[in-house]
Amino acid sequence: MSDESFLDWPVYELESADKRRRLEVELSALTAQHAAQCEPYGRVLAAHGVSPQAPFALETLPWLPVQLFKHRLLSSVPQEQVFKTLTSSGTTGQTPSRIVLDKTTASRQTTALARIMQRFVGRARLPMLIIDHAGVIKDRKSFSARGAGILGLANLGREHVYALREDMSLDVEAVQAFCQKHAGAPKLLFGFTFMVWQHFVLALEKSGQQIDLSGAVLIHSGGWKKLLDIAVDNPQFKARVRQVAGDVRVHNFYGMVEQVGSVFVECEAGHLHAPAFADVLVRDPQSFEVLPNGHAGVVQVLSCLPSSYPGHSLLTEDLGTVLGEDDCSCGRRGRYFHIHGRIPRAEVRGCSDTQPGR
Amino acid sequence: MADPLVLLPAGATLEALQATPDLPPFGAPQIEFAAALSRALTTSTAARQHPELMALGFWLRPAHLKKLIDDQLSSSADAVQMPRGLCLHIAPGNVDTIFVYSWMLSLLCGNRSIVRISSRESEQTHALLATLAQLFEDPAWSRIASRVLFVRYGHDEQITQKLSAACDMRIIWGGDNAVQSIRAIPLPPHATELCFPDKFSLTVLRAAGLRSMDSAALNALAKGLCNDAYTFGQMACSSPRLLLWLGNEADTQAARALLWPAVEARVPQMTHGLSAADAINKAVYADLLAMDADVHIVAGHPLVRRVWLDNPAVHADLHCGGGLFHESRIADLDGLLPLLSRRIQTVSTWGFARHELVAWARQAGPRGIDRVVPIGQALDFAPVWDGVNLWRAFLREIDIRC
Repeated sequence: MSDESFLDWPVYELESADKRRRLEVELSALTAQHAAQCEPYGRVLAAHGVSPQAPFALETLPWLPVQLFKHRLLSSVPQEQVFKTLTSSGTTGQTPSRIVLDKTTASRQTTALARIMQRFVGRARLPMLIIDHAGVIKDRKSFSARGAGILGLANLGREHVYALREDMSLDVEAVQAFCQKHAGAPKLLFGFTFMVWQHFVLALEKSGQQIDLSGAVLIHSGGWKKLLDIAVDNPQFKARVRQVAGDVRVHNFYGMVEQVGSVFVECEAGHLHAPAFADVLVRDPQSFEVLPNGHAGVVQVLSCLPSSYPGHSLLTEDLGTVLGEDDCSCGRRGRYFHIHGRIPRAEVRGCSDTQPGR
Repeated sequence: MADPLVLLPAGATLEALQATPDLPPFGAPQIEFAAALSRALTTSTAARQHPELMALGFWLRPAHLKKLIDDQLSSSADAVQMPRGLCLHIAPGNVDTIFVYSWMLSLLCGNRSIVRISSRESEQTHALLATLAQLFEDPAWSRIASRVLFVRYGHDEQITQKLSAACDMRIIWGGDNAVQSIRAIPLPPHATELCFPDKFSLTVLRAAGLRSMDSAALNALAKGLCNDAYTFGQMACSSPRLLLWLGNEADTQAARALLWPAVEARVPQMTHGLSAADAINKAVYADLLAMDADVHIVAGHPLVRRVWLDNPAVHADLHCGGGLFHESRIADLDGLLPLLSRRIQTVSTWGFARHELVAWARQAGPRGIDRVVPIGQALDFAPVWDGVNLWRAFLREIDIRC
C-alpha cells in the first residue's frame, strides 16, 4: 500500500532535509484528513484561524494539547471502523486519555514499533521475559496503556514468560527457569520502568537471589517520576539491573498512549532518538514558540501513524531539550533529545479545593 | 476520635474555646485588635510583598472599619443584638485572605471562631499566620487569642463532624462539591449556616467611551482590570473571566485594539504567579471551548489568552482561570439578561453611571448578580457578600416589644 510507505523509510538513516520534506508532506496530509473527518478537530483549527489545506512546515503544523484526549473522545473514523480504544492507566483521580484505533492505525503501530525495536534487538524473535503479570492483557477490546504496551512489545518475542504474579510478587522460580532454558542465548526483557525497579530489581536484591540474564536486552518505558522521587536516575537504574541480572543491555524509551508505536528509544549514548516517521520539537512553555536546540521547553511530538484520531501533532506535558540532529555519537540520524520530566503542576487554586477528593 | 492540627494559638483547645464566653458585639477589644492587625500587616515586610495582604491591612484600618460598623449600627440602632456564639469557618484554597475577613467580621460581632485553613500552602497564608502568631504572643490580645482556634486538617469527615457539633454557626467558602459534602454533615438543631459556593464573574465595558480615552486613563483602566484578574491567578470567585463590550461593532473593534495592548503591557509587571502549567491549561480550555461553541482564539500575549465568542455566553465549566478571557459583545445592558443565573457574582464595569445601573437592575430584574463594582474593585471585600449581609448573619437579635 502506497500510503503506508513511511513505514519503509530507513528508521535512523534519513538526512535531516530529506526527512523534513517527507514528514511535512505526510503530516500536512494528516492535518487536512483529520480536519475533514473529525469535526471537533476541524472546529479547533477554524477557531485558531488555521486553514487545514495549507502545506505546513514542521514548526507551523497545528498541535493539540495532549490533555484534550482526557476530556473528549476524538475520532476520525466512523464508529463501525473502531477496532479498539486505548486508555491511559492514569494516576488515581485523573481522567484517563481515550484513543480510538482503527485497523489501519493499529497495524501501523505494530509495524512501526517492530521496525524501531529491530534496530536494538535484531530481527529474530527472541525468548521474552515480561516483567509484569499476565492479567494486564486479559481484556483485548479495551486496553490500558500498560496492556497495550506489553502486547505491542510481545510481538517481538517468543516463548513469553511473565515474571510477576497477580499480586505483583516476583515469581523467582519462573524467572530462574527462563534463565536456565535460554542460558547464553540472546533474550528480550520488557517492563515498565517503575515496575522493573520495584518488583524486579528491588525484589531480587531483597531475596538475595542472583539470576543470570547475560545476553539479554531490557526495554523499559513509562516515566521516571516515581524513581526520581526516590533519587534513582538512569545510570543508577542500569547499574542495579546489571548487579542483579548480569550483563544486560538496557534501553529506555519515551512514548505515550496518544502516540503508540512511534516511540523514541534511548541509544547507547543515552539519548532518545526520533525514528524516521516521527519527530520532536521543543516549545517555549509560555509563548509556545519553537526553541532552538539546547533549550529546555515543552515537548511536541509528531507522528505519521495516527489516521483514526487527530494525534499526529501533540503538545505533551513533558519538559525536554533537543540535543542535536543527525550527529549523535551512536551513529543514528534524526533529532535526539532528553526528557527532564513533567511540567510542574501548578496547584489549582480552585474554590473547590476546600476539601480534597470528592 | 482524630483531632485537627491546631496552628494557632499555641496550646489552645476546642474544650477551652467552648468554655469561653462571647465578647460584646463591636466591643473595644475586637476593634483594638483589628487596628493592631492592620498595623502589623501594613508594616510587615513579608506582607508588603503581597498586594492582597496590604489590601487586607487597609481594609482593617480603624477609619475604614469605623465607617463600616457605623453604617451597620445606624441601620439597627434600636435592635438588641448578641453574638451567635461559636462559628466554624471553612476557608477556601483559592483566596488566601478570605479566612481573615470571615473570622474578623464574626469576631467584631463578638463571636468565637474555629477557622479551618486550606491545606494548600502559600506564602500569603504563611505570612498571615506568622503575623497572627506574633500578635497572640502579646498578653494584651489574650481576650482575642482565647476566642479563636486556627486549625488545618485533610479530608476528614470525623473532624468536621466534631467541630460542626460544637458550633452555633458554620460558614463554608468553597466549590460546589465541597459545599455539598460539608453540608451533609449535621449541625446542632439551633445552628445556622452560610455557604459561598462557586461563582462566576464578568466585566462590562462601554466601547464608545474607551475610544476617546487618553493613554494615562487607559493605563489606569488596564491596571485595574489586571488587578481584578491576576491577583489570585484569576481564581477568585470575583475575578472577571468574561469581558463584554457594550456598543456597536466598530466601537468595539476600536476599543479592543486599545485595551488589550495596555493589558499586555501591564501583566508582566505584576507578580502574577502564572506558570507553564497555566499556559498549557489555557490552551486546553480554549480548544475545548472551540469544540463546543463558535469562537476565535486570538493569538496574543501568552499571559493574556483571549477567546472571542461569536455569541455572548457564560461558559463557566470551560474556563480554567490563569489569564484566560472569554470576550464578546452585547448591544445594551439587556444583552446581559440571557447570561445571568444565581451563579453570577460580580459584574465589574467601566463607562456606566450608578443611576443608570440601578435603573436597569430595578427595571430588568436580573436573575443573578450579587454586586456591581467599578473595574479595579472586583476583589474588594465588603460585609455584604454574595447577597448576604454578614454583620446581620453573625448576630442574633433579641426582639423586645414590651
